[in-house]
Amino acid sequence: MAELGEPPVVSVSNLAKSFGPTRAIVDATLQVLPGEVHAIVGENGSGKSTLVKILSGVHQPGAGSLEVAGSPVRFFPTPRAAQAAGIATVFQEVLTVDTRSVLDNIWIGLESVSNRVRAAEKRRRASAVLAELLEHPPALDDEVGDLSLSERQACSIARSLIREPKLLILDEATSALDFSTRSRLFGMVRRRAAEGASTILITHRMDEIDEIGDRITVMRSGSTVGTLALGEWNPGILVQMMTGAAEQAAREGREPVASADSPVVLEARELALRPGARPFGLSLRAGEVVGVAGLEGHGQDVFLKALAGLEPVAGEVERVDGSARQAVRSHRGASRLGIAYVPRERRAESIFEWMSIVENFAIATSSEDRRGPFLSERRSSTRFAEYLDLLKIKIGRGGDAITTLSGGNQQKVTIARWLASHPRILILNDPTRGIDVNAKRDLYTLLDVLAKEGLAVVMLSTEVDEHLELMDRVLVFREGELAAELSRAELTRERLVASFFGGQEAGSDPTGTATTGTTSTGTERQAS
Amino acid sequence: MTELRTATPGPGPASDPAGGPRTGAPTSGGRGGGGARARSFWETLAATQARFPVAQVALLFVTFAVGAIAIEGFGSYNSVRNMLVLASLVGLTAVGQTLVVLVGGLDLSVSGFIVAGALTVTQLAEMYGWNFGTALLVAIVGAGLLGAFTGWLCNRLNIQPLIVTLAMSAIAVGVVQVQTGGAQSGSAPAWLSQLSAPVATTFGIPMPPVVFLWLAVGVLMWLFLSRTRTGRQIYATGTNPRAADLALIRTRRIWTGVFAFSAISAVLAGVVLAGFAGSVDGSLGGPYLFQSLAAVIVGGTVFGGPGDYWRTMIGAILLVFLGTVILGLGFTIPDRQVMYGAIILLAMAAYGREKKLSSRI
Repeated sequence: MAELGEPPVVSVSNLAKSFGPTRAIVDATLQVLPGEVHAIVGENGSGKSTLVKILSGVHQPGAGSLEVAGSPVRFFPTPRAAQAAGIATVFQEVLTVDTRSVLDNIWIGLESVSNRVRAAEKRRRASAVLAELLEHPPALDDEVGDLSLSERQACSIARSLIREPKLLILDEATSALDFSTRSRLFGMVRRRAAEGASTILITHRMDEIDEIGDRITVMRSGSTVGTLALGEWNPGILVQMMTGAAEQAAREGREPVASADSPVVLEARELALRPGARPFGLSLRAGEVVGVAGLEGHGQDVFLKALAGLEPVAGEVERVDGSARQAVRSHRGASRLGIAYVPRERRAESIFEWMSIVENFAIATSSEDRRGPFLSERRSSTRFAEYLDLLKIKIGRGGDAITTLSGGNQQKVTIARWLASHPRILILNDPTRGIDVNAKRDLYTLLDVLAKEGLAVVMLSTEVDEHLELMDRVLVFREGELAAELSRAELTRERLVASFFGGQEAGSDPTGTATTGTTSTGTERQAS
Repeated sequence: MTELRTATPGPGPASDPAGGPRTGAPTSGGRGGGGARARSFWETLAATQARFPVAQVALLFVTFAVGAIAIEGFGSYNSVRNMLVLASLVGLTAVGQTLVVLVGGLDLSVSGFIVAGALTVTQLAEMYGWNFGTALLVAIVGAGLLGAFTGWLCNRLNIQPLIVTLAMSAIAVGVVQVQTGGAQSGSAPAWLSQLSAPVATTFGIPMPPVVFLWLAVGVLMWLFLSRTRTGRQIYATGTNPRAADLALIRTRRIWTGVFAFSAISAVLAGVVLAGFAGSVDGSLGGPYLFQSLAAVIVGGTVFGGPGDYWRTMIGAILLVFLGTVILGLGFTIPDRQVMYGAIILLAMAAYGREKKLSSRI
């Protein structure tokens, strides 16, 4: 906990920063006390990232003052200068050199000719940090490219921790982490706090702040609107401060629209996501919203890709339409059968960066815009207009580059791209990752509307709250197997999280037994 | 609080207009400095530059002005016409290269296919008694197959086009030279020479047909890239191959097609060059490989896009103007080589920076 009396580790006041006409920060003031975990919350575009990038020496502010340990100093001209002052930052993007070893990645940038660390010492310290951060740490000589996303992010966090910074900044750095690594990281943050080191935590996840935050600073439209101490906040207050609007009504869960009479649109049989895994089945009905949950890397991703024809797995996926059945064998085939897949990594897998908003929307369905040999830009725009209202997409002009939009709006355009193919089944791979609260709300509303129109939705989410609020049922994966299936009635936070770990209270286990894997392989099971 | 430190001269951000769509926090690191006003000027310029090659066109006019003042006869009709003919030749060799660069590749086989094309329609046609049309067809089909294989291979095995195209270039020239027994002289039919002879006229207009041919190619390429589905898919494939795959674009076909197109367009350019040069030997293609790439880069087409063929056209004219001025001022051809190299480096550096800016705005 923070000790009063000592000067703040870092204190910025009246900070301002513009990028051309865009005012990223209007007026920001922030004090980080020794030994505190200071959360910064705000919607996307509210200036959180810019603020920490200034503290990390990435950006130079237009105005403002900086104090480190009570004495005024110049803003850090380079990231190296910030590091020298004891500030280490982990960003949301996983920044690793994939072709180098774990050890190299952890020590990268720390060594110089004048400052060599002995190899044995490097290995000792790196494995100490990794052992604290990861339950099953990879070997130091493993190539980072072979690790999972979560492990790679753990490596870049380890890179910061090994510097033993006075101030650690986690800028959305936890979103790529799996549950156990995140818990272990928070354990380390708490230990550091006890030793007097501070942490700035930027996250969209309220539960994380509740878990370890000592104070919260809320940002809105480039300004800090207030700092709350432990016990002064609740979700209602925070949302109100972030949006500036009156408190939103507590959300009820969605009303389910699908029933046992709704037609089955997709059926999977004898799916085994990895060799030797216990196979399972699924049947999906029109109007159903099905959640896919579990710890990172436990087969959820493979499952979605199998449904979308992107990843060959043992077993069969069939599109059902009345009495007609057709096997899904390829992504293209899946698409033709009305299965649309929205990928997980927006930037790497969805966005064509310098192309326009409308081009980004129309790219997968451009055959509809053909007029003779040419494409009709107007027809693309007309088609896009249908989705502007539905998805509440806020754009300037459709001809602007997609990158002029916030992450949330980019994601909406991506979803519109796939809705435009008029799918009967929509597969969403963690669509709300890293987007702001309002954009999330818009997506939830959209899913409700789509379900009412008879679309079947399968959605992977890493947020427990999302499952509680949205899903008709949730499939929980563990070690490449379907570990539990929770119906709406059984869905509680405790049950869901417990089922991630295979707890006994995991509700109705799909096999009717405890989840300890007593069933023999080959057991066929039909969901609902 | 202590001193209010302003990194910027001028009124500071508080006086900035707050207009414009609200964007997400900028993602890439950029350097600060420069006043708020000055910066917005530079950013406006960068944004304009992204839509239209302002710098290149400005340089074009400056170069022409310098040439017209310093070199006697530079501004005359004949001189301009000759330069346009040279620019057409450079531009025609850069048609395929533009597409290859747009999908994120690089085609070093342009020179090989130029020579192969030129030799086929001159020597092979003579040796086997083919008429011109047959020879051309053979060259096009052969080049198309080799080029398609190049593109397919690069995409399938995920290897650098740099090396594959270099190898393919050697194969293309080799295959033709085996046929001709290594004898390296051939002469183009007279009508072909008339296509690009500076004194030739086009329907009475005192400008050789090759310039109009180039213009027509330019219009077709513009329509193709900006108005057709395949053009859009080429851009998408270059920008983000993975997203393109997921968006159901057949990226391997795009690569195969683009490299086949590049080989065929090089062969056709080789035929035109054969007419221009009169006689053909193995060194015909060399200079054009470099100039075609330079025209693409200088015009402002970036690896993986954005870019356009009309930018390459401006690049080609600019290169020829600059080259002529340099020679006219008494420098040598090696000096010009140095200058071409420097321009490419400069252009690459400028786009590197521009890309950063555009992701910041």
